[in-house]
Amino acid sequence: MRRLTIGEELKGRRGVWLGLILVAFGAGAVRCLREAPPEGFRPGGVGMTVAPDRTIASRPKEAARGGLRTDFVSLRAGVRTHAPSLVELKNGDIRAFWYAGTDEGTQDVTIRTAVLETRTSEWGPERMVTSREHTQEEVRRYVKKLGNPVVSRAPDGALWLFYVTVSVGGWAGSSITMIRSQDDGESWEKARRLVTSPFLNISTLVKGPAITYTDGTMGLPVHHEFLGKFGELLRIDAQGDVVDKVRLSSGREALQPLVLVRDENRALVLMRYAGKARPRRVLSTTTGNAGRTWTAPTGSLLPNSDAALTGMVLADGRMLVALNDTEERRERLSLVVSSDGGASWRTIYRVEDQSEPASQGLNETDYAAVIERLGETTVGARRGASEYASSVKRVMFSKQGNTFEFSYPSLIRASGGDFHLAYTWNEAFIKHVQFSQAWLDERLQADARLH
Amino acid sequence: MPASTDITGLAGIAGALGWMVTALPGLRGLSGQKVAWTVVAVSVVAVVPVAGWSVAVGVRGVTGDLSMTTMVWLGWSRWGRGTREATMEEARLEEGSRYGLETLIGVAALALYPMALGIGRIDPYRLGYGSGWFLSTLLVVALVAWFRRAEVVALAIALAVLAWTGRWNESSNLWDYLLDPLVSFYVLGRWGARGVKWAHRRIAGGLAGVKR
Repeated sequence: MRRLTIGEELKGRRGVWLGLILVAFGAGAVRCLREAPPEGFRPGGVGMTVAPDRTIASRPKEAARGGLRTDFVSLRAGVRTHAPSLVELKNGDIRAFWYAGTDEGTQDVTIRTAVLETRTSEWGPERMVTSREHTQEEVRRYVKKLGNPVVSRAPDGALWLFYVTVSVGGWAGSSITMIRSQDDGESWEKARRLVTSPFLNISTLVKGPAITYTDGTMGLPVHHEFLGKFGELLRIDAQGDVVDKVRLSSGREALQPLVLVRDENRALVLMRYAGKARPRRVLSTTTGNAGRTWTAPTGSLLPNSDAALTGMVLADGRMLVALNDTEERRERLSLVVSSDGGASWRTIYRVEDQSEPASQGLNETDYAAVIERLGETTVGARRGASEYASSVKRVMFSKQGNTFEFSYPSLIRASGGDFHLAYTWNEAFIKHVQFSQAWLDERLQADARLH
Repeated sequence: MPASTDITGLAGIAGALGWMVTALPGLRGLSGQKVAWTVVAVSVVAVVPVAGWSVAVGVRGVTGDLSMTTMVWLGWSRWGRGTREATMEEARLEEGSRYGLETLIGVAALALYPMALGIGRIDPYRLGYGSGWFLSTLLVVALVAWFRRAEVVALAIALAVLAWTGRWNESSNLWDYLLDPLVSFYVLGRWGARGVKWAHRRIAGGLAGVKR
């Protein structure tokens, strides 16, 4: 008996193929109808990292009576440490995540965590959350290196940790991997990869915290940096599937979007400026229809040194943002506030500022002395000043000379009322600044310089 | 315990590797049963882990899951050949189907990948997240293909929609069931080769004309 070709098979079964087409598209139509867009943002916006239905076991005490307290989150010395992300736990403590390794992009980089016990104001020991090898085993794919972690509280109360993974090439070859914890970060479910790009799933990175929609889905701001450098907002359902996405910009200028939700329909997005034009300004775009459409990005009044920023919408509607408010380097980190939806900003506090020492061309000894002084003046420092200096010298001075870097901030407000800011401290440690509402109110009223 | 999408994804990669092996010179003349056994044997080898890793895991780490179009293309190109000479009508239909599928893949790849990766303002990849317009367009394309007896095109589209509906692969985007970089590169490579041949003929013809 001779074999039929596919052509012959098809000819004899045209009715079957037509039936298959109709069944497939019928099922597809049902799925389309189920994936209706959300009605709006869940107000609270960025920084609303606490599940709405959780119970606070113990309210954390306010920041030190002075209103502001500083300490170091990470403990390991001599490693490149970067990109913190904060979340409040159900018991009121604060958990931080960051990545650290011999150098940025090396295979020994791991995602790490530590918990601030708010009753004692002390950070616990740091531990590893996941490694390249561990992630690789769980996603069943080759993973070359790990990058930025971003933690967010899902509407169901679980902690979701998104982090950058690279299988091919450099950061432009990144994809996002996600793990979930039901016990506030003590244990984690199996990692899964988000599919966000049709071409080998490359070119998607994450830095800003997620927001939530009224239908319980989450909005994760991400950016691409392969053919274009642009921001996107992914919508992710309760199962961790990407169900929609929308562009926040186009071209080759915008990275690391931060979404500031003002109400159910209005939001402002601020993006790191990665273009070549001067003056360098944070890019901004807005929506008035819950993110269905966004305005064309324009330069804001905020300076930007091609560096990440973070922020939140305060209860009174004002916006509080932490950023490197310089156009060149990351030697200064400031808190700025806007009372008019992002149209204008004023600086209320310099969290770090080493632009003057850096401009003096410090030699190695003087540079170490400055670092030692900075370590000494940090209230909760857990190492000797010389240890901070040697660690910073190893990761900073050896490569970039006498520069300082205070970057990649993460900012939340805990249910007890205090604000927590964490940032990369000279790429060697993660530093934490805690301040109270009273301290912030005082700063808001103090003399401030208009941008 | 691997997720179901890991199983289907790795099975797809392993099967595709098996099919590719049977297309190697020297194995093209294998009978149907031998082809099937070769595919199974290569697939098993591809998923067997050695030191915690398998060939399928390594390939999937780079390529991602394969689209239904790739699976249909591979199956069709291997099994559709048959063992006898096709009639002229069959040959015409098969050529038409191949041309239609190639054209759709090539055009879709050229439109989708550059734009989705940031060239221009529009992101066609977004349509894959349950856009009714996109699904309707695909239905029209599938029906036209069926009507014109290019059933392989209709089959690839229908299976892609079915697999997307049932979340066969890791992705929740319909585009990833319709298209993947492997089949796109293959088609664009064929177009490139044809273009080179065409240019070569033109140049050769021109030179011949000069000689005359």
